[in-house]
Amino acid sequence: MGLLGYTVRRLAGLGLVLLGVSILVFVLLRGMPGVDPLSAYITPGLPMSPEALKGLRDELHLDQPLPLQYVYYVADLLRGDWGYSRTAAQLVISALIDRLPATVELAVSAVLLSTAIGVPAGIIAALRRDRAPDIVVRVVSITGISFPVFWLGILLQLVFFYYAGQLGLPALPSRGRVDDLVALQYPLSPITGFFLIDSLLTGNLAFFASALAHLVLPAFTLSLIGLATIVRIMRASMLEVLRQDYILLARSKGLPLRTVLLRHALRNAITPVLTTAGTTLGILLGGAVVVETVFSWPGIGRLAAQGILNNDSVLVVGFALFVATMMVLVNLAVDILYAVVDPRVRY
Amino acid sequence: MTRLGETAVLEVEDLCVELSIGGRWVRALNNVSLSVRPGEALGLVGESGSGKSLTALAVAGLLPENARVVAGSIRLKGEAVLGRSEAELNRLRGRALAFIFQNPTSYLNPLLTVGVQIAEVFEVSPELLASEDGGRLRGGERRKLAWRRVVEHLRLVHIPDPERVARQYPFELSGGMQQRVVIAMALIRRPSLVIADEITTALDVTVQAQILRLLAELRASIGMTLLLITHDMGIVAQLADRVAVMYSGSVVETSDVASLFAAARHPYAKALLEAVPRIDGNETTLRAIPGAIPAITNPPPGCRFHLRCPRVFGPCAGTVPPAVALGEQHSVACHLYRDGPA
Ligand SMILES: Nc1ncnc2c1ncn2[C@@H]1O[C@H](COP(=O)(O)OP(=O)(O)OP(=O)(O)O)[C@@H](O)[C@H]1O
Ligand SMILES: [Mg+2]
Repeated sequence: MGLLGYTVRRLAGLGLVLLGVSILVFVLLRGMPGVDPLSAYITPGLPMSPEALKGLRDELHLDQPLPLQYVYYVADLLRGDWGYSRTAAQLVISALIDRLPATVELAVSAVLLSTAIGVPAGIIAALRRDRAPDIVVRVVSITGISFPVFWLGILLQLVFFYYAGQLGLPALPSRGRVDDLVALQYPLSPITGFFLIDSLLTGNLAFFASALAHLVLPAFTLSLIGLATIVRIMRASMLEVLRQDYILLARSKGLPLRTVLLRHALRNAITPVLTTAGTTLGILLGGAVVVETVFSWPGIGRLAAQGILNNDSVLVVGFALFVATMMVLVNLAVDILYAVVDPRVRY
Repeated sequence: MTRLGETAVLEVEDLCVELSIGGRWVRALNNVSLSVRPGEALGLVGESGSGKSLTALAVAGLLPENARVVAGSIRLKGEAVLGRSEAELNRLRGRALAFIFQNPTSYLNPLLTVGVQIAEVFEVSPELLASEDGGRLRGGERRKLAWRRVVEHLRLVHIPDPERVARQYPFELSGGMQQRVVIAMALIRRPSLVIADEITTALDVTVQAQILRLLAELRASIGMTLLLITHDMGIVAQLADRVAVMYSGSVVETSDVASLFAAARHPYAKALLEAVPRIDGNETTLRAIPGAIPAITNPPPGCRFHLRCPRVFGPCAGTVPPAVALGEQHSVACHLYRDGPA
């Protein structure tokens, strides 16, 4: 049984999870006692004629029994009809897809950043256990985990944007994905929707530089969410692996420490970190609501925050479903990666 | 077989090792001395906890983090082991030593194929991959030759279908096959000394017998020098030329195997012989000796065996008996023999 069979089996399980999520979301939308499901579709203050209301009821099949409504609902979802968002003045599905690249770019950068910092820090802490480097890493990561992220984000904006600007130092941008002027002067032709990738593909370096500068503060802020966890897991896992018998045998062969660490220890120690990084990515893809809002980052999290303030339940429910789907997909990707690293998982 | 006068492959003299346990330094090895000469197999026997593995690890400079050598000397092929840098130790280990451990499943890296784990010894000893005419080989040819050597050695330890096994992961193999892999890994470097630490304990009985036969066969065919650690006198009888008996961190008797089996002197060695487990059973505790090996954190004064010794007398509780030579090949540390052969 190889990797392919494993993937197919995992995909089947994934369908079940999504079924569950869709039921949950449906019940929230239509099945809440005392709430008229129609209210979600009506803009407050904009009266509708009885005929229009009747048309809406028919369109949503609200006069049918709930189970049948669910079937229609799922059919709509599958057709891509997730409803209309008042907040975005757009169909929900297009609103989400339009803003997805911004969120993915930010979340992936943040996870890469926390892995790039967390893995080496965890390894160093493990190798220098109970000595100065370990203690520094531990204190910093505990401190990191105890700060609220929005507060750190604002603090970073204050230091690197406001104070740096005041002192005439090169300041980092604190709002949006790219400088408006740069975007006007050097317009980007979209390919993937990821600014960094598209600007590189089209050789638009001015745009790339601006997009990268805009990414720094929010990505760093967001990376702190996963960083402390990754450091702690990497450290614990490395310590555990270094105690293993196969490390002793590898050392007894006379292999240099570098080889023992990189080939034998790291490969084994990294697997729990993969899971953590994957879970963090899943959370950030859906839950970067606060950081996206603080940095005016035009992603799905900020949109969802606006939707909540607007009482736009069609959007919020669509967002929940969307996030759940991505979470499931990310988990699948992590599991496949896990199976690539560890041959025992495939069986 | 042993020839006197030849330089020993391994020479351990008065080795004392301490362990940090609960914040206190505790003596784990007391003046351990032993030597292994080229081509011979020295059995190192003793109950669980007597310090056999610590001795072996000290020889390779691989003592656990909480251990330190406080006295003594270790020479591998004439070169001092103690006081070397990690890099020098790596070179020495790679050239001179190979380990086979107790539980092959835990000693093989689960994420690397068998072939990769065997072939990596060539990174340490590239000279093993010189071409037939002694010339240097380029990358692709080297890799091919390395792979051929790996397959050859898997065949040498009687692994069926070695080309396939070399590409497999440890978890795809049985315990017996895994142990053969570790043995192949040890032999491929032609080490001066193979240290085999309880290599059959984790295997079931029929597989134990197969592995022991393989070891005997390999000794005969490629003439390896062996430090054979076991608590099983039966294995000693089958494989070793000489034997050192350890008890609670000290070597209490050293002898050639025949004399030990014919006339063991130390009461502990005698008791061990009476408790020889049969090859068909798993029973390896010493029913002949009441009591248990003392905890190293709280050893009795004097001879460490005296509380369990059937022949305990006056001086035993007071002083540690020194090793006394009873013949060229035979020494014993027991107050009964203080004045020479009794
Ligand atoms: N890292 C360690 N920390 C604390 N105590 C240790 C450590 N390693 C070994 N010991 C103790 O030192 C003593 C000797 O251990 P060692 O492993 O050498 O025994 P052994 O003769 O190999 O026994 P076995 O037959 O069980 O393998 C034992 O009491 C053991 O508990
Ligand atoms: Mg042992």
